[in-house]
Amino acid sequence: MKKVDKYEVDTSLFYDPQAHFWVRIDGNTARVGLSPLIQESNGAFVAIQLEGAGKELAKGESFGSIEAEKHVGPLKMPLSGRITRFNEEITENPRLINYDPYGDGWIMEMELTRADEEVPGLIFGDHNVVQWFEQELKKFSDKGWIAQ
Amino acid sequence: MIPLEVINTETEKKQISPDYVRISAASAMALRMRSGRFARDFDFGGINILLNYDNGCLADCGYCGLARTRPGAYEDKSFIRVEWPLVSTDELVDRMVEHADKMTRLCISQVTHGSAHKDTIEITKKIVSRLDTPLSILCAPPVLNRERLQEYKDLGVDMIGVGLDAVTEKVFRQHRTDVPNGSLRWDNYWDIIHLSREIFGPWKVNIHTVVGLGETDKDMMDIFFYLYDNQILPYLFSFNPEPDSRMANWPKAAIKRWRRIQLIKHLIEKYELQPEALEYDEAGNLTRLKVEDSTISEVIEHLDEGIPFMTDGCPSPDGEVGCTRPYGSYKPSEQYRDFPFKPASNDVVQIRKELALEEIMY
Repeated sequence: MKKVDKYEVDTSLFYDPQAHFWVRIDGNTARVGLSPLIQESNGAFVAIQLEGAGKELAKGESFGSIEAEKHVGPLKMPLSGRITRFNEEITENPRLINYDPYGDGWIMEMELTRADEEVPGLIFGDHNVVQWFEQELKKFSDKGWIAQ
Repeated sequence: MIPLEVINTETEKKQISPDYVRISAASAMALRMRSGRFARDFDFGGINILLNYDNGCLADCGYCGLARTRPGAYEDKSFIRVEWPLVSTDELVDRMVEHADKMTRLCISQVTHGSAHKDTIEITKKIVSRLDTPLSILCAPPVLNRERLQEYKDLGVDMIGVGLDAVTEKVFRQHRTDVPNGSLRWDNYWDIIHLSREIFGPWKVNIHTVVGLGETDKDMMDIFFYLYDNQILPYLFSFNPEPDSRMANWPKAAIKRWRRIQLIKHLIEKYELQPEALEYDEAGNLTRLKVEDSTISEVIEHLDEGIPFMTDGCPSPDGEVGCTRPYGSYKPSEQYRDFPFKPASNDVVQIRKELALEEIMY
């Protein structure tokens, strides 16, 4: 973990720079969750809809949506693959994503189908992750989404 | 009428008004006191401030998140489905000053509580001493009388809102009077409405009217005509069930009904649509909108570019709606009931479908 501003950022993980997912890759499978910055900038999550379990989806395809008090947005695949499992606890208690984005607030697990082509497009490595996170934090803050 | 007595509270020990208030989630976001974003980007500067007490609101309205008998501790209760962060009044005023260029309208919402009046005065003084943004008070009639309303006006409050909500005595009684603990009186609300109108003047008093509490279409239209005749503004709200409230399972008004009421209210307000233009069945459901005036026909043709479907609220200094309450009557994942910005062209296309005007204009 590295501290960036007030955020604990797990720099051992891959990050999808568009959708702000973290991706923990283990061989041909991965666990996916939302970055601390996306949970912060959305505010308290109140509902999550997940769809496509067992299906093979391409990178960027929607597998559901997530709703906060004043915002709703799609969840888009960070990598191509087949969704093997959703975290059922977050459908009962979406606030888990706010409280523990790297732990109990994970979203789904998947089998990767195009890892060799797509994983290099993710952000990885201490320096790169921290630099990307800092840039995103500034961008989000400039948009007025982060408390001061 | 004798207002509720002032209750002495040890404010220095408790996070209660006047030293602390709650603010809407959207207000907290606009003031950067809380992180968050809106589903669509737009400028927001309507700050809603809610008085806060340990024992909460002493009323018990069936639809309200703050109702006395709604389960749960008062400090954990949501209001309009979302949390209202508790903040220090001084810090809030500092923040509003810091963001003064974005502020469009400020509003102090009272709750029915014995300290509401004196605390409103304290908070109002703090605000008007440092900000020029227009200030409204959404009042709790049981704690008010003529003198107290006059005090607000003398301090610089420019508009008074009354949360009547239920537009007929029968509906009011059902949800606000015949309740487990903390009943309110229809006559008291109207006394305060008329006193406010007298003290604050024409178009400076607004009445919150909620669609979907059991009233008929005719009930809604009748109160619009009455209020406009008296130069009082009706503000429109769509009932949105609050979880765990007594009306948690009560259905929302159908979108078609809601849209038609929005449109007709706009036609009455801006284009002097007359009662004769509206026909109802025996149950009070709107069955026909007869328009012979060419101006109104044209307005309907273009749906006035979506303006009738925007949020009703107290004005900003430039005369636009200053209090827009984003996502107050619907979830972000639902169709906008009232738009906190001018609807986009694709929104207007959707609204036109929802209106199904061909069913009532023939």
